[in-house]
Amino acid sequence: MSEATQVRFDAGTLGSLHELVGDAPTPLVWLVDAGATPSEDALAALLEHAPGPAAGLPVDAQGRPIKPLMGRVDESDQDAILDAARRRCVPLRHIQLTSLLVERELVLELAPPDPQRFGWYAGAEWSGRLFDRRKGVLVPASRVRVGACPAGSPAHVLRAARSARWRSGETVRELHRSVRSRLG
Amino acid sequence: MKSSTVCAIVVTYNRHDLLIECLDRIERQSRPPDHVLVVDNASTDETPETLARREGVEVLRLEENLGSAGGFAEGIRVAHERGYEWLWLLDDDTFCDELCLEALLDGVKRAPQEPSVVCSVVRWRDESLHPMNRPWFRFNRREEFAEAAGAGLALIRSATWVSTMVHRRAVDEHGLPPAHFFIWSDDPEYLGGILRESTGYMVPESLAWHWTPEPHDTLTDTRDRFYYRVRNLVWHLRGSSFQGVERAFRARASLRLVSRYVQRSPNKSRALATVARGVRDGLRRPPR
Repeated sequence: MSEATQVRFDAGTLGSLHELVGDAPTPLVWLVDAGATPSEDALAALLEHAPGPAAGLPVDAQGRPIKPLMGRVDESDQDAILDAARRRCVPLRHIQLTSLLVERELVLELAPPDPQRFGWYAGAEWSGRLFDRRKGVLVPASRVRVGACPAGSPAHVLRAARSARWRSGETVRELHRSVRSRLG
Repeated sequence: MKSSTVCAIVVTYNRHDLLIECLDRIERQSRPPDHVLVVDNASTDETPETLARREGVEVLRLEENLGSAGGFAEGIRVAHERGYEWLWLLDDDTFCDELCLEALLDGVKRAPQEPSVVCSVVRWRDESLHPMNRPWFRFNRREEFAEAAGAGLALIRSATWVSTMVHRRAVDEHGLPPAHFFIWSDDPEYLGGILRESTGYMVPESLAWHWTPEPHDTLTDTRDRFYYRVRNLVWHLRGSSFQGVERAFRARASLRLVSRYVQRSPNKSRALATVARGVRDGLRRPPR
């Protein structure tokens, strides 16, 4: 039996995360965006950081990291950053949900993502709440290829920023990306 | 000269006992440096006599005290002329772990990009990160930061004179540290300038202790030499090592620093005079 159950979700089912993971036969679940393609060793790399939460690095077709999907480093504890680097990972405050290894029980303890309120940022907002509960990391060795990287609406940006306590700089940058994508 | 040669450069001034411990620790390295150059800033204690008796150390005695900035500038100039690939910079109160240099060189080998600077994690006596040498991470380059972490390294924006290695290529491109700074802010000015366009890493396994009596920052030292801090900060802000948002953040931090210095000083009028003198001289053209 696998050490983690892969659970695929998409924009339509993200809000039903409890139902999606509820029947998983393993204590660990690997949440993977339906539009994403994990590399062959993506899960093995995440399992080195079990029980997580441990997120994979979203990359484009050329293997380059996709900045808006990479999440934000938790800059609050420098010793923790150095310790994470020693373990080949990066502590996070939040990240877009593309590939995440996490304990099933932890998922069930939290209110699920709310796509109606946060739109495209529902996963990021949820991961912020998750990492408040249990420190999460980005694992650069675990790569997941993602096709598109759309931006949500400015209203969704502002709601997510307020709820997940984004910093002003990241909020402004995401707002800029959101408005720019709407202007074509 | 073979590749990956390392010259340790220690700058000292009247801190005999600390210097001896610093040199003993360099000698005990699992991978010793290829050469040890001590720049004696015209010490007046027993340092010259002790250094004269010590084997395996080359002493470069300066005629006058040029401060850490002038001392490192001289040391780097000599080591660079001799062709060493890496210049390992250490204040005389730097106590290195035995694996310090070996870990730095391992870090260079696994670095995703060819680094110009690599540095150690610097702790105080109680193992906390030393406030003067806290890591200056480069978070704004998120892709590179993640790439570095994947290789077990932390991407940095600047470093200090406490166990930092500079590649000779960086000296070719950027010249020597700003000797006219004398003390304070010379290291971020020089290393920050190098790292503006190039890459630097902190190696988590490479440890050094900065053996100051207190885990102080420059604020603890409320003597008149804070003048150098203010003057150099103004030069630093006028320089090109940091620009745009980074410069704005540096300016804000500098204003806070000066304000805290004045608030903490027992003699406020004297502190204000020191600050005013520093600002005045900082606004003048720096000597070259």
